[in-house]
Amino acid sequence: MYQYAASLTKLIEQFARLPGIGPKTAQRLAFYVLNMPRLQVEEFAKVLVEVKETVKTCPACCNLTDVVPCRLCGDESRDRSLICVVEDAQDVIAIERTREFKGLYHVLQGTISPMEGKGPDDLRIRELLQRLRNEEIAELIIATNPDVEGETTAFYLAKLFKPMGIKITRIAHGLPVGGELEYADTATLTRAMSGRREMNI
Amino acid sequence: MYLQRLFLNQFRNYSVLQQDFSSQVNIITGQNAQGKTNLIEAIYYLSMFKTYRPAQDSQLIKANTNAFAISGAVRSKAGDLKIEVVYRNKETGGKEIKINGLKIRKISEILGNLTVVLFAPEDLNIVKGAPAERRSLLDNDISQVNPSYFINLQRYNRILAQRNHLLKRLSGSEKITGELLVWNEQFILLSEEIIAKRLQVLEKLIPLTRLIQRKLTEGKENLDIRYLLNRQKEIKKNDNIRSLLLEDLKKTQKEELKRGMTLWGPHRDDLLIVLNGNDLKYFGSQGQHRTAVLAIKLAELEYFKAESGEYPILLLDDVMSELDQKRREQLIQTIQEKAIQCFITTTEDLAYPWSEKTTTQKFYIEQGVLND
Ligand SMILES: Nc1ncnc2c1ncn2[C@@H]1O[C@H](COP(=O)(O)OP(=O)(O)OP(=O)(O)O)[C@@H](O)[C@H]1O
Ligand SMILES: [Mg+2]
Ligand SMILES: [Zn+2]
Repeated sequence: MYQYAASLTKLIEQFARLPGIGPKTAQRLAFYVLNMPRLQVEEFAKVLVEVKETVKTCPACCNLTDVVPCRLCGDESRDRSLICVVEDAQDVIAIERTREFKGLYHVLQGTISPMEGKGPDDLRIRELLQRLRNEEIAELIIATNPDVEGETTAFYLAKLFKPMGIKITRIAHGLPVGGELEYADTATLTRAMSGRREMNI
Repeated sequence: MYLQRLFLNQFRNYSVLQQDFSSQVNIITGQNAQGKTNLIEAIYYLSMFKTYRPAQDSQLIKANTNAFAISGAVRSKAGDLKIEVVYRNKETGGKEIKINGLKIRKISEILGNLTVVLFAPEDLNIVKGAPAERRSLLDNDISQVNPSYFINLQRYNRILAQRNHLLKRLSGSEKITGELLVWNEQFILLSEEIIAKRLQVLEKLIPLTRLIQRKLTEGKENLDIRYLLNRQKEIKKNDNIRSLLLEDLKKTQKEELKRGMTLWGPHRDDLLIVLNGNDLKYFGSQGQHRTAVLAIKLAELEYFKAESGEYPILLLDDVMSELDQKRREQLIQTIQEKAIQCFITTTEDLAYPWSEKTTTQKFYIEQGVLND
């Protein structure tokens, strides 16, 4: 059977590993790269490595950052008594866009999802516990997605932290149920943040 | 509510079809394997965005093509509506639904725009078949008029899958972790909501069914439907569902951890259909089964009417010839009285006693081509 040049096949395989990219798209992308000017390809390869080398996890909030502590944790003007718990770095960007929230964040880096082999120990919950113990926190706002996994994670956190006597709130579901936070428009998110409610467990 | 016009493209054995229908009775005659059921299936698909037959979406695409489209013009109290569905083979993009030209992201947003009640030969499985048949009867009915129920079902299935994965991972350990406790709680919350809604709907459906069954049998047969929790325990609307579920959890948790799967919950519940005090499944004759299913279907019509203010479209695939003359006349009378739009398929053009007030339109189908 006829096959592409070995290096081209390798590139196709690399693209096909990325989420949401099927074999056909992978082929298209590989051919696109092949036709790109050499300089642009070098630039592309360089930023791929660079991103891996420079982006780290903030030791405090577990958000992605290139400085330590991250820009949000380092910002003296933010309200340090409020922590908003989100699933991932994209959610931080989404909430920042609303300009509604002036506190700090904690990025769990996922949700509890047995189907993906993810349990509480795979999330950045230990780091959050540390912060709650060591810092003066007045309110913990849980802003995980309203889908099944996000909701379960919220309940898990609420159960875990309730005995510490911290006020725990959940952002309101102005969001489409089952929807993803990232896609929610800014207005909806603003409403959801201001309509947050205390969690009863 | 009625379907004014249907358009099909590369669906099953249809290449292209565009057809206007009567707002009342549509009789579709054709030999075996010409496309009668496919037409019924297409109308059903416009309502539920899935088929009721055991087939994947990709199998509905006409052989040797790679997409199908169904669209329909619906007239209802709420106004005129154009519903469009396109399904493309995976690599090119999946299902796309539009209402009046606007793209819809979630099926829950559009259920109920076109409601249907389908009666097909395999509906005898409502009596004879596995519990899943009876649950899906109820689930489909409720979903059509109650989108939040449909959302709850989707969430439930997701939680169930997650919980099963967790149980599998913990299996053998007998250890109830904090994570399991949280999944249990989520599972119970949703189970409770689903069961409560089912009981609430049954409470409306049962008297309707009973009344119709008595009418169909000249008062001889009393039909009753009961809800069985975990296929065993009969429950009623005012029972404390939560505490019953907690009991089930307590009873089975150990076994669940051992076997690595969920052993209770609304996905295991059943309906018991009782005729004159006996379990119809085991005691009824073939004809009694059929009459009971007819009674349930006619009750569904009334249920939709009560919930949404409009009668649904009635799809009768191949069932007229299966009913005896008396039941057939009752069915025809019901359709006429309520001026419901119906689609009736049959292999032989039987002369049914339609009154003159009813507009009936006849079609003949051959190899996926429909002729007036
Ligand atoms: N994806 C498909 N592509 C092409 N043809 C198909 C497809 N799916 C089903 N068919 C064909 O459509 C034909 C008509 O099927 P249908 O079930 O509508 O028959 P029918 O008119 O209801 O017949 P019967 O009276 O036996 O119930 C069948 O011969 C079947 O093989
Ligand atoms: Mg058929
Ligand atoms: Zn930080």
